[in-house]
Amino acid sequence: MSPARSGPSRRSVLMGTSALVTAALAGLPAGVALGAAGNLAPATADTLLRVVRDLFPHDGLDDAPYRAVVAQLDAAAADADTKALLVDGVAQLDAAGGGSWRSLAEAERVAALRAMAATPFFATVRPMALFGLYGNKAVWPRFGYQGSSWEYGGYIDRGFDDLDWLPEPVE
Amino acid sequence: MARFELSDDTVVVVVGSGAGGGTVAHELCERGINVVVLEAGARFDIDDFHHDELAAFQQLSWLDKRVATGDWAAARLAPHQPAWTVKAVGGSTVHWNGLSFRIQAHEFAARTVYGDIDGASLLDWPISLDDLAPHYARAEDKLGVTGTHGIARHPATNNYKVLYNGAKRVGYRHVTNDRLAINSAFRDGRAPCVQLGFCNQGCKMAAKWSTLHSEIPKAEDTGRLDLRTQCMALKVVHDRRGRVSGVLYADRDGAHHLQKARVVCIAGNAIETPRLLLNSATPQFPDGLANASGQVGRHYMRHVGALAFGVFDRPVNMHRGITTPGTVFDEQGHRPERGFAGGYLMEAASLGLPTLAMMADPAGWGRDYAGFLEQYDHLAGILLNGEDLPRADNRVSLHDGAVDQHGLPVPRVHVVEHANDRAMRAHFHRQATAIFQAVGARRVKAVQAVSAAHNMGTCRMSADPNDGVVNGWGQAHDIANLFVSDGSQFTTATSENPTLTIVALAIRQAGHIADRMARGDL
Repeated sequence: MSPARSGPSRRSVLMGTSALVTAALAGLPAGVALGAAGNLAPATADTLLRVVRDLFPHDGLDDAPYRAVVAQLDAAAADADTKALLVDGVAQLDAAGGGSWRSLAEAERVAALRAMAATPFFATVRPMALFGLYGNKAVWPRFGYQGSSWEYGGYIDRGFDDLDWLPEPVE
Repeated sequence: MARFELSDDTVVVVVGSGAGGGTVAHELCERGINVVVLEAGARFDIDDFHHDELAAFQQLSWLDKRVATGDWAAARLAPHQPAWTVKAVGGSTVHWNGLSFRIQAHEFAARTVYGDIDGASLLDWPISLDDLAPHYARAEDKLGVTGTHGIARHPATNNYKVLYNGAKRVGYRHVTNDRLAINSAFRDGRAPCVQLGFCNQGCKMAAKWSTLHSEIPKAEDTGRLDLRTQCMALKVVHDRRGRVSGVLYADRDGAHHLQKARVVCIAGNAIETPRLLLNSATPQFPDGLANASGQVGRHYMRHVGALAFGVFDRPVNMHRGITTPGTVFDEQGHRPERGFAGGYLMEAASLGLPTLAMMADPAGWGRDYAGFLEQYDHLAGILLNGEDLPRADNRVSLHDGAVDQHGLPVPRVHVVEHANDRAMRAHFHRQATAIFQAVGARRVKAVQAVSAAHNMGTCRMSADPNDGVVNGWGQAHDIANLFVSDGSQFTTATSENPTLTIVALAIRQAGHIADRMARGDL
């Protein structure tokens, strides 16, 4: 069944403060190509890509899952307030970086990000990056997370008890 | 399924279909009583459940606006999500873990045993373990709790093996994977667990007990249950004598209806239950229904919550199988030499990658945090379930300004933690670290829980009507035909997960209501 739920609007969620709800919604859309909506200028999107990588750096991951997060940010920028928040945040980072935050070394980029940690920009981008990245099924194998199992009959024959480096419990 | 007229004033109206409401409704139906259940959420079945944490959260969670204030983590990190509860038929039994423990005898007498603690509003329950024991036995049979009634325990999962061995090596003695309301074999029309690993997202096997897959369909089979889904109770109404006479509710289209009632049982979880009573204020009851004592909404408790994760050199794969597969009991009991009153349970617990990323550090980011998350399949987890102390000013009240989609004030959930809560959490983090290090963890990450999962105490049981809202039967001190049937009744939080006790209380309460209706004095 598909109940008619009167949940919060996407915008109220993005601009709101509920990490859980923000996260839940942010994680849902996937597979959108970067720039598909084109709400953000390419330079802004490129900086956001670097922001998302610096927030949750996994050197073994290529840009694709991070680009998917930027695509979500770009889609969210269809809302004028959200767009302004993202554009202003990138401008603040660039100002802190003497014109180009992206060209700084990692330690300096991270320091500039940390200085932004209390801003609405950060409060919007961090949860979207977190759920966009760790909620992306395409990256789960790289973390050893296997997700849903009912399609395969559960984990009962797929290693739920295969830990062999400790003794079996005796009760 | 039965349909009763709005004007039928012989029915019992139950608000909520979770552990309390679903059970009390079923038990009343079995006793020949006609029941209307008003459930705010929709009805999902096993095919509807998403074994994807984010989609399931969106599908099942109570997302209506709430406001968290005070100094607890929710006020800072999830100010509109003070608690993670379910809005669906079955209530939070759809996402509970199945851990089913009886409250211990001394915990029913917390005020007597712990003494007068500054800054706490401790009180003894008006009932004892002896009063509840036969109902616990019935509840364990109803839920199919492993280790009771000859029900076999589950095999040890990977995550439990870590907890068990670590706990034994630090000298703990009482460690078990018993007491789960999850079928280990076909029982009561439900399938055995195949270790799906998504207990919190709705069990697609219905191996885990829920009112959605047990009490509600059984009640429907009696022909005496009228279950109305997506129907939000707005106000409990009363007559001139001060007895409740019905419940005003909004249906899925927003239309208002008044269902008459002979008796009303409220089981909306310990945030919505006091909110409904407060929103039901009238000139005759200006402070809300059943609130002559001023206690409605006060003494909100949610258990001291925390998590710890150990990082190991060899794989664990905690996500495979039962979400909370085993428990350490040794830190229960009142031993003030530890630096706090009351006790706690340590429960093996797993999180999927998205939820782990959200919860392992609610403000986390950066290379160190990403590096921790990268160890996902080498992590084991332990959850703290500890007794938090009641405080009169930790309370659910009506927000001054914000209203919901029905125009009613939203609940404000205010918590200022007692020093006892912080001391217990710190003790847990030391002990969990010792457990993980005993089996070779190279890193332990200690985490504070953000949103509450268990909600208790906001319409508490008391012997003296001045101290609480309901008596030992869950009957309002002020209004004879009004009952509270959920965890709101809890006089203290205790160290146990609340569901088994909510069910036992609901069984006992339903018998009491049915007996009194038969005698004609309700």
